[in-house]
Amino acid sequence: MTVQRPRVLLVTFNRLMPADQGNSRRIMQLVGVYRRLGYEIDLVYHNEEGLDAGLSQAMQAEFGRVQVLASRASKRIREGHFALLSDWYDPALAQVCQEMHRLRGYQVVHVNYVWYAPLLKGFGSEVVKVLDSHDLFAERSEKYRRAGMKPSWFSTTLAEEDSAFRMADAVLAIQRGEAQEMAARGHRHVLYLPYVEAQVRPFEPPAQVPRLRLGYVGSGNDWNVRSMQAFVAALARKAPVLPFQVAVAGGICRHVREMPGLVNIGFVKELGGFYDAIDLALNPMVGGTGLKIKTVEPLSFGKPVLTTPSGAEGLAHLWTLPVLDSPEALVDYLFDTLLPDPVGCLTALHTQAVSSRAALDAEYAQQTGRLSRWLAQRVSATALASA
Amino acid sequence: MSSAEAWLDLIAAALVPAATTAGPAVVVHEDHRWLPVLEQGLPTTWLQPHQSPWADFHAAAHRLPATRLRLGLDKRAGEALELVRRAALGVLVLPHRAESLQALQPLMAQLRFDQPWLVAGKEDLPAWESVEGASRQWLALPAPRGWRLLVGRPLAAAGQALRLEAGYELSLARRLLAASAGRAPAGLSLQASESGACPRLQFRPVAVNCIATLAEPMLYHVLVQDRAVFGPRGEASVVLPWAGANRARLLLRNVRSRIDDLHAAFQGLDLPPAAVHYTEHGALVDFTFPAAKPGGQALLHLTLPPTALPPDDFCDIGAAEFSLELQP
Repeated sequence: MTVQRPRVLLVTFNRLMPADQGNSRRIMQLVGVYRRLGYEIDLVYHNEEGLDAGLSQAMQAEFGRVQVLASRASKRIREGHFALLSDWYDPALAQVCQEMHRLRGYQVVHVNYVWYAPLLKGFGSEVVKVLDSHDLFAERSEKYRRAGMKPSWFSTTLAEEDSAFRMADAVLAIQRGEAQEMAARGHRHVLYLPYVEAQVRPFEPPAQVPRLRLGYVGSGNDWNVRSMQAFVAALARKAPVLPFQVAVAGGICRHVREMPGLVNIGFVKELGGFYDAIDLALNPMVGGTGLKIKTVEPLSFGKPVLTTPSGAEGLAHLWTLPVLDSPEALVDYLFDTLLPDPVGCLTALHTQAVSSRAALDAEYAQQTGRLSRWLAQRVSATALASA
Repeated sequence: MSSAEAWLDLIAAALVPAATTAGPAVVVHEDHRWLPVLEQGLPTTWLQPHQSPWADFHAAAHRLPATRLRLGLDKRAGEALELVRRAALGVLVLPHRAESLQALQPLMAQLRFDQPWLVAGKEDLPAWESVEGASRQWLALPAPRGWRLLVGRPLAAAGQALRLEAGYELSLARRLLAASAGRAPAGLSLQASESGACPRLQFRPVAVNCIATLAEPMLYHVLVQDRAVFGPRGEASVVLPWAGANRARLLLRNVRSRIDDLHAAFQGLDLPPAAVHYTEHGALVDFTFPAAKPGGQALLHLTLPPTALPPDDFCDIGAAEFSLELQP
């Protein structure tokens, strides 16, 4: 007779298929982790990003059992741009999840983002409760204001975020720095789990570079827009006609002015094709919150990447590739270091990329191992207690 | 049409308050069944000897429908046995067919009188021999005529409190419905029969709750559109509540032409509509059912004439109504 596999209930508002946003990809990373640990995964899709027959089919194929609930969260933003957890939490989720728990008997419930944490309160001690924070949201609006930007999306108070963390048995932090900050705020149940994608292409330094091709792919969020505008302005100041090609892809294209040598190619269906067509990826971030997936993604496709301190945030302890001080410094590097000797420079960058990737993989393996051991211990302990 | 399974549904639903553990209701039946009153009271899983090829749906307020959780012991025995152990309330309807009994044996061997289970079946079924200590430890409750009904110890007090009487009648049905008050599905009502002989259970479910499909693409259309849609070739299957009903009325929306030659089949027999009325909302089709075979599938299969199909949409069932004489 087959033994029933343990089950996880995963709750998300993200459209997971195709996983073309950073947060969806992070969630699918966790799906892979649970699956490798032998868990069966059920999904509550708190529909905020649309539903169609294709997505329904993909979700049914990927998960054990799927329930779709239209979001009725008010998503209120209070004066001063902050929200309480209750402003963004949808209480209708509790009943749906409790019914699914009755039917399926979960060992783990996994929610994403702090405003979903109140859902965890409905589960007893027989269930291990995991909150993937994705980012720190306490006083997030201040970070925007300090950068001279209008705050957007969710921002809350330290007290609210701390209360959300206390509702979970484990809080996952995507960056080491965030984990350290949570620990500094007194949370002792934080697990740092970095984001790393599987290696899709090997690193192969070019033997010759007839025309240097650089690339950036990103969504049109405020930080990306600001970063790319700074980068393009620096490029334009340096040379009105670029001596290399820069391909820009994704939602950012709506916000980037083309110039000779810089081409907006819009949405790309296959990231592999995009990275295959470039020699070097760029991520000239000037700020932002959370992990910059665009910094680690090119490595998965066998391409080195140049970034800034903001783009390398959370990775600095592993990173051996150059980190340039600003978009302007990045442009200087392209003209002064890369352009005079593209083959030699790219070969060196590839070596550094291989080393950075190896360090990322080693840390990921170590941290996944920690999560696995913790889960196994907790699930066994709760099983024993409820036996 | 036997109404024993409808009585069983009312009794099981009335026992829900006695289901104190955190598990689901589990219904074991050799055929495709739907006990709507119990399903409304507790999240319900359906176990069958063999994995059913039919997918059907359960909709609830503020969410899109999900497929009913139906497990076949042939494919998912481990999960089925886990459910038997976790059940807050179990209902085992004993099988008629020998091969079903054989397939259900491992599950029946797990049942003990100290579990919150209700076991029911026709009294002359050989399957009774397979229920552990059936004649001694389980508590026998008055059952519909020709049936036998046992409950395990955790349900015994609640079962006795229901004051089931031999000669099931209107007052008992009223009491059972009252006992599950607040959890009975909307659209369920009990009426005194015009002849005064038997009370009549009338049920108007949410239409998506009574559609079933074999075709995977249709499954996603139902899940996403929240509509009880016919397939692109005009085929649909309707899940009847309990073992079936005496009468059904379906509102077929979005038909482009008359559907007098609608083809319908029930348990392998043609079942021409008793009447078709055309209204501004669509075609109202009435069916009167023959006596069901013991242990037969409670599914009505429909095929619309090709001329009735809209070119760029699906026909759907906009409303359904079932009625069943509750015999003692």
